[in-house]
Amino acid sequence: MWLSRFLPKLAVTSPQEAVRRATYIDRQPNRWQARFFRWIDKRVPAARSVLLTRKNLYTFPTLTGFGFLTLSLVLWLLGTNYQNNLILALSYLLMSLVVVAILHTYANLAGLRIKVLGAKPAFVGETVYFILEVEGARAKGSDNLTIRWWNGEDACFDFEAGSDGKQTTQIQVGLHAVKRGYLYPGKLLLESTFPLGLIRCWTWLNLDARAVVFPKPLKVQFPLQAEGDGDGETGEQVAGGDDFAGLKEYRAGDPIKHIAWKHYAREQGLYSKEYASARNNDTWLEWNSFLHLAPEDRLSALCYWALEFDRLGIAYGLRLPGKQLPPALDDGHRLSVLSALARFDISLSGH
Amino acid sequence: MDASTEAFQRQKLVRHENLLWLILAQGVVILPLLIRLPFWLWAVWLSAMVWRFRIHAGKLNFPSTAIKFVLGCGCVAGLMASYQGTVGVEPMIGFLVCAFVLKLLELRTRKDGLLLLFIGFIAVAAQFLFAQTFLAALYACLSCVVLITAWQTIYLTRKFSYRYKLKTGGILLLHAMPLMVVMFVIMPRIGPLWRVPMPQGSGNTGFSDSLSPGDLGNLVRSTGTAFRVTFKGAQIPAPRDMYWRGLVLENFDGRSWDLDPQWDLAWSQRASDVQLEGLLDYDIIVEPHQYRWLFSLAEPIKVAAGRTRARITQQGLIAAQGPVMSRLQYSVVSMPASDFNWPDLTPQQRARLLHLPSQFNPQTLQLARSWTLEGLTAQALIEKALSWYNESFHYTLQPPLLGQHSVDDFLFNTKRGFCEHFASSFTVLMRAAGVPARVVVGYQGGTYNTLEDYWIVSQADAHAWAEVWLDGKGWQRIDPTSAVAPQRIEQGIGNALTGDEKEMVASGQFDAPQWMTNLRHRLDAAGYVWNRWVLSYDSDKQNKLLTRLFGGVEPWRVGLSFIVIIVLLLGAYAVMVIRPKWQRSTPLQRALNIFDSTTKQLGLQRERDETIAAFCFRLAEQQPELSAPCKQLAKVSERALYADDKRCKAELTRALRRFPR
Repeated sequence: MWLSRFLPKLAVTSPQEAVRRATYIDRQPNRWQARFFRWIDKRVPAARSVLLTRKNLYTFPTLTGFGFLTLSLVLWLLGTNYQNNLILALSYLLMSLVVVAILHTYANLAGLRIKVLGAKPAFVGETVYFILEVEGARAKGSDNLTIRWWNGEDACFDFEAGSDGKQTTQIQVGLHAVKRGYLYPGKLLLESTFPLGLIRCWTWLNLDARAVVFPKPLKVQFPLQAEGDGDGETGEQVAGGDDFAGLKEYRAGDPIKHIAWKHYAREQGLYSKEYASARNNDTWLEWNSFLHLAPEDRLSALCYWALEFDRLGIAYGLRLPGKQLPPALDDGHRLSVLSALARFDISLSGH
Repeated sequence: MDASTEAFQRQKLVRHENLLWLILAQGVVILPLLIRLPFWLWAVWLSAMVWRFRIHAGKLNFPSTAIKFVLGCGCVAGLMASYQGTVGVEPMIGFLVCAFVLKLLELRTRKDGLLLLFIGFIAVAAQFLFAQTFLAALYACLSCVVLITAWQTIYLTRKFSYRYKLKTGGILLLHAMPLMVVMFVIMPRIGPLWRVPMPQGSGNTGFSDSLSPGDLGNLVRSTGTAFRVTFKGAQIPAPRDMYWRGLVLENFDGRSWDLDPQWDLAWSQRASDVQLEGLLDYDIIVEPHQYRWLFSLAEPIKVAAGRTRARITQQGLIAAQGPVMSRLQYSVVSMPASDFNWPDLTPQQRARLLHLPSQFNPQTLQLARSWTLEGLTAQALIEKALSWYNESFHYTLQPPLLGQHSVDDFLFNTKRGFCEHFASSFTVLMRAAGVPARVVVGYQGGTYNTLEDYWIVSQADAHAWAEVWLDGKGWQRIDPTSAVAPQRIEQGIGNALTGDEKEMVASGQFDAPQWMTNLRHRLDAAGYVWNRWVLSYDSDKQNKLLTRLFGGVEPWRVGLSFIVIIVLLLGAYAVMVIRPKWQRSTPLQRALNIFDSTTKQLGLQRERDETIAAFCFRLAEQQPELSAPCKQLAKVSERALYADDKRCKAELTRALRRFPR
């Protein structure tokens, strides 16, 4: 199986294959692959950017290449049997072409620099796109490069030649997200058979990349008793509005912009300004509201409701064991809520 | 890469421009084959092309398996019908072309495209079975460029102009060429591994194994070269003495001369009496004539034809092992016939060489008998016959038709004939007079090509003469034609004929203007070099060349040299192909380097961090005579610095280069 990675993929990508790929997404590298990857790890530590040189580029003939060599051998036989020097010369020409193709295929990749720019977060079950920057200095550019994480999806790209000097291009390489939390994509495969498809030049890169995978939203009933706040304010006024309501003692987790700096400067103590909205009640997403669900599902449910409140325009806060995010409503808040859910360590919850 | 390209990329389909390239490559490759195959294949090709374009336009579908099967069977049936079911090279190539052309109809994915291209390379090779000229090789190079370009386009997704694509394809081929030459020179040659059918397209050329009146007259009208000769030693015979013996005809049936069925028996006594004086040593490259005989000057004592075995026969001819199907090079050593130590004729041989059918040519027999009664010696008989020819005979390419007793008719009625008439009648006369004689067919003379120091013997030089056996002297060459038309022998056939007849010989090449003759010689010389060094490069030549290059042909020595050369070559490529652009200096940098070295000679060196302008002012102060170009250069450099566009940079580069040295 390991060998098959180094042979050309002759099969046409079909929907069936996409399904197959989706099913083996969660698999581990097999023994040989794991050994090979460990070898790479030992040779080169993970880095944010890697330059492709002869040290990390490998070449080997493809199946087409072997077929072509066989063809030139057949022509050689023809030339020998007919004692025809021109046919012999043609067969030697074809063999030379294979040799020259090694250099041209190598030159297509050599000198490129791959840099990790970041990743677009995604939910479990979606594709995480890692954003890589490719930088090259070859005047001709590079053609028909295929890039993928070792168990991810192929992405093809070309590399345009710039007017002068270095040129860069950004590419997105997708990987199916199966688990909540940080996704470490593993080895990156970059390969090309350009220009003749006879030789495959490839590299396994050890890139220091990671992405955040949010829990998959799970639609469940929102528990009503969780609305309002057990130990918070009572009455009509609910924190989180626009109207200044008064001061309260600063508590860790309060937004910094709500701190009453004037009072602090007069050395009267640290207070938070309280804002109130007459209309809204405070909405909290609580770990404890979904106790009837399994821990992972609990996170998924919280994720669903976070997105739902965000959509409805209701400010919401998040309480997880050991983590609290006060109610707010903006993109940054959504991202921190989702990240908190993604990174939450279930073992902290006492389960 | 846009969405549609990406979809194609994902499905690995052949794109439109790629399709055009593939079809173009196919067209270029099969043209030289189509002109040698049945004409209906043109129609198959054109219709397949139209069909494929209609598929592309969405007007037609890809043919189903059943239709493809029917088309394939149709083509095979057509080939069977055209070649009457024979198996040979042409039907095979016809089959290849059919498969090649029909592949268009299922050209869908890249894999199909690759297959099409691979068949294309086989088709290029097939073309060499028919023609191996320099032009054919050039055309094959062109085909390869187009094939490689089409091949590359399969993997290209960026948009490029067709010229750029052709250029990159050509560069790939150019890079492969030196490696190919090294392999061609060094790779060991081995003989054919099994017998293969040969192309039949080229018919027999030259004379056949029998000679009847009129045969050679037709032959000299055909254009074309019979063979080319290079004399290796200092001994070069005069053109009038170049009698290239091809065949000896001993059996006369009253009208035509035939080859002895056992003509190719080897003569074992030959090698024993070698003299070292006056030997002629020469190489001959003979054009394929589909016969077994080869040509040599009298009397060959040594022959070497490389891998093809050739031997010297009892009649002093050279016989190859099989018919000469492709150009063949062989070398011969001949010694003058007068120095040759002839064994006596056996009674059987003498009887055969005197035999004449009694019921034919009564007048001739009677004349000869009357000469015998005069008691003349053999030498005197020859003199008498030749002087008779000289007095009353004419040399012409258009002899009158001869009756049943052809020799009688010629000798006593028409008295006009061509060389075979003279040779034939002379031999009959001699035999009738009791002198063993035979007819020899071959070529006489040759044209010297000064460009490459060799002789061309063309079909128009075809000739027939006689050989008579003189007791004590052996075989003597007698050319009765020289008695009638000495200029034929001295100056070639072009000068022996009158105006009208000249036109008929070899399409009038004897009347061509001087520049055309020169051009023809030049082309022929190029072809000769091609034949000698490329087409007939075999293991012998390889050994000689390798010995000269590497000092020996031991496998380790050749292998080591091969590896060293390949490594050097690939190293040079690696630098050329792989070194990224940023490692190469730009034209501006190079110009600046030149400028710096110039000023260094003037005794002033620019500091590393000194601008060109600042340096120029410094230089102008020290060297007042240079102040004008310095100021100009400073101005240009400032402009280039601040304008920051290509034109200013180019101007600065030019100014730096133009700076007076």
